[in-house]
Amino acid sequence: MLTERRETKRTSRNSGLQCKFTGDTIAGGCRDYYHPRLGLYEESLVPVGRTVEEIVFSTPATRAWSDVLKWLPARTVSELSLVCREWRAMVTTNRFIRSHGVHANLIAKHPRIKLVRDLFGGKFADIDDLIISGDSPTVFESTSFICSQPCHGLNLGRYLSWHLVLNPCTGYKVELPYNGWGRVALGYDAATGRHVVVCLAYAKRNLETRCYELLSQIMLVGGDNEWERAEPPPRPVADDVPPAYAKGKIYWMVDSRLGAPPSSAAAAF
Amino acid sequence: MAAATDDAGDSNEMIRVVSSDGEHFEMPEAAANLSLVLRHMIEDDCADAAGIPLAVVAAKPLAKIVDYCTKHAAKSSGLTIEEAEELKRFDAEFIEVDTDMLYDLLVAADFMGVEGLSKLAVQRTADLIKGKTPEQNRETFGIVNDFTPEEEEEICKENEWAFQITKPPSRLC
Repeated sequence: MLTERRETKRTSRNSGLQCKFTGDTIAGGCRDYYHPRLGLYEESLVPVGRTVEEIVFSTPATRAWSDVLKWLPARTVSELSLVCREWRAMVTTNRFIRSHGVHANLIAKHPRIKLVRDLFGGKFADIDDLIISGDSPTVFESTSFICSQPCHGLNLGRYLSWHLVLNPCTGYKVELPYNGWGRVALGYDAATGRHVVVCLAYAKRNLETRCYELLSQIMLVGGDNEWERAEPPPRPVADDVPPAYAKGKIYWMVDSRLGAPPSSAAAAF
Repeated sequence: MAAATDDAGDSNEMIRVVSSDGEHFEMPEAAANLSLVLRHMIEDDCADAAGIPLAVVAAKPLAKIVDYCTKHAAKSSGLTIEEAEELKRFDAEFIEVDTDMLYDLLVAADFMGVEGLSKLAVQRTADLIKGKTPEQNRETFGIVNDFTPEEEEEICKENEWAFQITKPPSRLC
């Protein structure tokens, strides 16, 4: 489609015609000495030439390097972004991040496990490395650290009253600001490409009258780190069952003791 | 079906290729078929006496690639354990090259679509990169650091967590 458009532009230049903005209604009335007239247009980011990603990946050398780097662990790749501009441009494209996500996880023959060595220092030990090296590290205290399932590369962790969003591969971590806490869940919004943290808490709950008031707060990960009020889910959720993220949605169990008598067991929003 | 058998029978036919610097090479058709690009050219009847021109592959890496393909094509099907072992030894020796050659092979194998060689070169390069600082990697692969010191500092800050073990280049600190 794009090549075709470039082609047309080139031929029109070769034949000595100049491009003018003209509406269809006056087509045929366009000559070189006419001034440009009004034309229709749309708000659009569609590029005429190549996208930045296409430019970055246009040389055989970059494609070859990207083939190499996509097999390396995430932490190594982030270090390598310091080598030169070309590498940095390459490893920060969505195209590379996607293909790295596929390949780096592909070579693992079993689920990847990491031990927390120092949560607040962002230090994690890969269990494979420990088996190979034979080290037995001092592991993060005896108080339990509760970690969610991975959600698009990040995990949600809870330790005592701290909640953190972390990437155990790179050590990246964000501590969530205290908001009274309730049941916290991590999700990923593919439309915006952002991780979202959702926190649901009961302000009021009466099991006898089945009345309740549920507060819902959300926060974008990597944003200004502030909670925002959001519309609560249509059904009461059970705060003693961990929510689960799957394919763009966070699923919570419904608390059957509250609200109108239930018709199904799970609610999604 | 008959045509396919004929092709197989003709596999001792030689395919000519020309490097970017104009040198001619010959290899059996079965060897050329290991390259996706060459296979398509052969299927489209583009392989003639003048040879298939390979615009981005210089003579030195091309000679190696011809070696690789010839060796692997000769032993492509029904390998015994000893033959598989021998091929593995051949690969290990084959990829013991300096970084310039490794880089050329990496790019050329990717361009020509020689899957086995691509994997071999990628693995070898990845092994060389692992466990090195950015500075050591620049030295190994002859890459010029084109960041300004300010930019470098910025990236260091941005990725602070990634540099806890390997310190940023000394000229900054």
